[in-house]
Amino acid sequence: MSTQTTTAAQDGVATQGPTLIIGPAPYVHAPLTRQAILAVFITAVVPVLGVATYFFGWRALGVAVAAVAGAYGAEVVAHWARQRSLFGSPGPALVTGLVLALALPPAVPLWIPFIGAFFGVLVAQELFGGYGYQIFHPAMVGWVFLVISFPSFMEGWLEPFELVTAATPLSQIRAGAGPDLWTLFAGTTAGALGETSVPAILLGGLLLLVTRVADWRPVVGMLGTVALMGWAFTGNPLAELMAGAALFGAFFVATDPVTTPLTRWGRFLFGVGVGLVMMVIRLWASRPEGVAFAILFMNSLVPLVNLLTRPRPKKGATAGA
Amino acid sequence: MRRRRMPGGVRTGEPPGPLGPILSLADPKRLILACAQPGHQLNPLVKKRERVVGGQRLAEPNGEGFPIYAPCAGTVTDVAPALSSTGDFVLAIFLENDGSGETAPALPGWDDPTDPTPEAIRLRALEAGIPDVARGGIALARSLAPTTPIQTVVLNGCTTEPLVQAERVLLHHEWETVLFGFRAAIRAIGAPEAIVALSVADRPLVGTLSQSLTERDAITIEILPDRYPQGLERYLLAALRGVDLPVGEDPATVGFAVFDVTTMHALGRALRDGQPFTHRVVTVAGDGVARPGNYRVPLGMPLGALMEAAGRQGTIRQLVWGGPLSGTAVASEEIGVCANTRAVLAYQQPVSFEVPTTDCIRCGRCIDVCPERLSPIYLARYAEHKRWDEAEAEGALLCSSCGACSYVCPTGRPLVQSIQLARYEILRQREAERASQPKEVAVP
Amino acid sequence: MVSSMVTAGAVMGVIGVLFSIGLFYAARAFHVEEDERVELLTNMLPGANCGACGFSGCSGLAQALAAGRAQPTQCSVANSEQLAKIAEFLGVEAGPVERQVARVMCGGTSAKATQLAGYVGLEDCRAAHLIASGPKGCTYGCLGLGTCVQECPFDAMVLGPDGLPVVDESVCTGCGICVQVCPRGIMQLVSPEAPLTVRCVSPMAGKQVRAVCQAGCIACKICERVCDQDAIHVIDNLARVNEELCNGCGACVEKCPTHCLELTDGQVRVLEAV
Repeated sequence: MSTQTTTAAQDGVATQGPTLIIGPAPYVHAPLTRQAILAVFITAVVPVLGVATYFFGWRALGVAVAAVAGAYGAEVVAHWARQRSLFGSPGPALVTGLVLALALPPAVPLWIPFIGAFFGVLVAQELFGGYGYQIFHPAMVGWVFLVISFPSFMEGWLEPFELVTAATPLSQIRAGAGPDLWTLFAGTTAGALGETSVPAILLGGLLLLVTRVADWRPVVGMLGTVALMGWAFTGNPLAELMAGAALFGAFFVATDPVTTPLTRWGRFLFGVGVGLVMMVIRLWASRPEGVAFAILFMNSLVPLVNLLTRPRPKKGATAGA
Repeated sequence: MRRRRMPGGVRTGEPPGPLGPILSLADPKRLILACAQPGHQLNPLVKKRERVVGGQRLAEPNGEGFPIYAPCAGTVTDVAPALSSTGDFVLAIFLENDGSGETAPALPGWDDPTDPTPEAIRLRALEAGIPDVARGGIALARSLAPTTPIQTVVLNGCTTEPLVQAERVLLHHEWETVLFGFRAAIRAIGAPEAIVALSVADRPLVGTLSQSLTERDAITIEILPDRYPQGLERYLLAALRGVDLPVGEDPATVGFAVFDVTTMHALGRALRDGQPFTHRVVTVAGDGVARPGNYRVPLGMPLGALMEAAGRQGTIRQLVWGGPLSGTAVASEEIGVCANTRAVLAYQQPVSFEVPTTDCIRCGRCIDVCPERLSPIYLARYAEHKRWDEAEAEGALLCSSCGACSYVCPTGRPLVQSIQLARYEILRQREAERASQPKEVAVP
Repeated sequence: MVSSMVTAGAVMGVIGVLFSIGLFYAARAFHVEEDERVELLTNMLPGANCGACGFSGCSGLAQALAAGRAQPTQCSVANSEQLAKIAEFLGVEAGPVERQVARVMCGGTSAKATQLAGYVGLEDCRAAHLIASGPKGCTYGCLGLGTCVQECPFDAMVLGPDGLPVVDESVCTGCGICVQVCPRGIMQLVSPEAPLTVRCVSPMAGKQVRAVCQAGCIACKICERVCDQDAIHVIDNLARVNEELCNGCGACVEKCPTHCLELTDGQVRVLEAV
């Protein structure tokens, strides 16, 4: 706003002005700002990324950097096209890039995370209006794009430390003989970069829950459903929870503020739905893992869930005119 | 009589520990005493260059108001329009303190609040110039003579807004005076039941408060959750007695009389000590003052002078009249403290600089905290796109402007301002439709 | 191969025929009776959908016209030819057309009016006014956030560099929307022939006006004294002009100490040098 410097005498007291700024209430703010949310999220991802580097070597960091670069590149392109400033921009790109990177197998060539993140952010986020307007989770869109377009590259599973090709625990379980629960817990199995180490995911996830960046409801809904269906259909719920991307998806993807329902119980339903679809894909579909598809499926149902779970103002609370 | 839990709300976290004492101030050099009350202006009784003493009547109501008194002795320098907290110019008496401290003699007092008759209580409330702060500053005498039957009188000590301690500190340190006034109010109204509502933060106080209560009092103390905006009357009554008070309605319509602590304290002082209402406790806080605290401030003290007295530090860039969630920023320091000033907050940096506005991220936190079960995310969107009809259908007129949604919004969107704009437009269009010529003109 | 194509074609054909029959009956069953004149009238109206007539858009007015519940002159946007055509079509009298334009009754530019405080919030004059009557010293003056400019359905206004809106009177149709949205009543509708504009609406006494704006009316009554047409009077601390009596001589404009009076010649604002 234009502010003019004038002096006016009032009651003999010269006032400089204006120094005061008026604006709407409120005049304090909750500590959790958008920047804080993104910062906490990235901090929560650090242990997972750290363990991934420990297990799979520097290539894990390379994948992460490539993915972030792709995401950021998409934002730059979109903001240039729309002639908008890049204010606050690195945050969402970092988050999307890291989530996608941690969902990828360790042996991917670096151009895979780059174009996956680029596609995901450009198509799923920027084309819909930028951060805050996306319907589908950009990292999951990127992942699905990669899996469908470059399926062979997305099968690069490696054993940690030795970095030899290996089958993922999920496919082993489906074939009949999976690793024992302690190995699954420690995460010293093949798998995507971020999905194997349970302690790392729990650490990051706990940080998200404690800081209220993530709501516990989708997490509990999703993991509860997975455990229930695992117990009902495979008799091994813990294995179902710890093998594959269930934990990672629950803490880091199903808690995304933008692509999940607006209401608390809506988010719980979302989690339940993701768990359900995921287990259906795992048990009866041709893919071993279905988290990304489940997330995207439930993303499409979010407007419906919002409509069903919207709070209604109390009856009788008529307003005076 | 089922208690109804307020949905939503925010816990902003009062710092724990005992409240500080009520700090006193030296009377300032200048006072700006507004001669305006809701709906009407007062008639000044004094002229320029006239000398007055503390406690002297300065202006008289013409109609349904109450007089105002000089907080200190001094000379009237002017009787002219001055800026008020709402931005309007109202007639005001400018007083220059001469430091003599001379006061007018006090009126006779009573020892027991049940001694005076209800009529005498109302008369004293009027004579002492006591406003009913909870009712927006109308004369307390009017609230003590209700036109509809009142079942319950409530002392609203439940301040859940952060930083505002003015009411709570009176409960902690001057309970006897408050109780005197409250008992008198109950007597004047003649209600069978009375409640003292406190927030959980003041639970340690219950023992001390109960000790003063006798069997004669039909007063119960009730504790309410410490979640803003529990203290707003609508949610207060719902939580206490399950009563549904529509937004914007007076509690008298549902048989309740709700008073705030400052008003009861003033009534107590007037009845027991015969003192008119000339000072009130104001919480001064914010990083723009070095000595924040609860000050006993004379009415009419300019905000600038109050900031100096509380130790102005740095450059104050935002000055808030009232609490941080329900108050309003003012454009000038030349506004005098008045009866409804619970708090004055001074900030070196407006919060909107720290949390700049960006696009909505659809996190839904605003829906989680709304005590009216509205969806501010949609309301604000409709308002910003000027879709007033949809905003009204969404419930824009039901919003109580508590500010909880804007408080939690991570992207700093001015949700309350957008909703208030929608309300303004909806009401203005309704008014225009009512006042306009009939649209349908029969063709001859 | 061919037989499958034939089968496919036949099946699609049958489906198409079935759907056509269904649509035919649906069109008859759900048909809405409408006066055909409504569509014709809607096309005759200017089509701005500004809502100034009080109805919802041009089709709303058209419906009311066709039903005899409105007069053509309720559309303040239509020019005399359009109105004559509509009146002829309906078989009614056209009625007198009184064109009006909007004028900005404030001279408090950013240079001349005191800004008490800065403002951060919704870029809307109404929203700013709701916060302690806005950041400007004068609580009756133009806030300069441009809500009137945004709301004008005809793009007849722009926000000038000095912080005040400028109306292009050749484009302005007098629909009155800017008048409604201005929270301070600064926009007023007048006849375009009206020669004099008082660029102030403040009812405050001269001393208070002077404290917050150098261009406001201080109710000194000099204009009243020099006017030989008895066309301008100071009532309630504000100069008010009777446009019918005013002959546009400009004597008051010259003598006004704060230059708050302005002679308007339609398109161009005649501004005193700052």
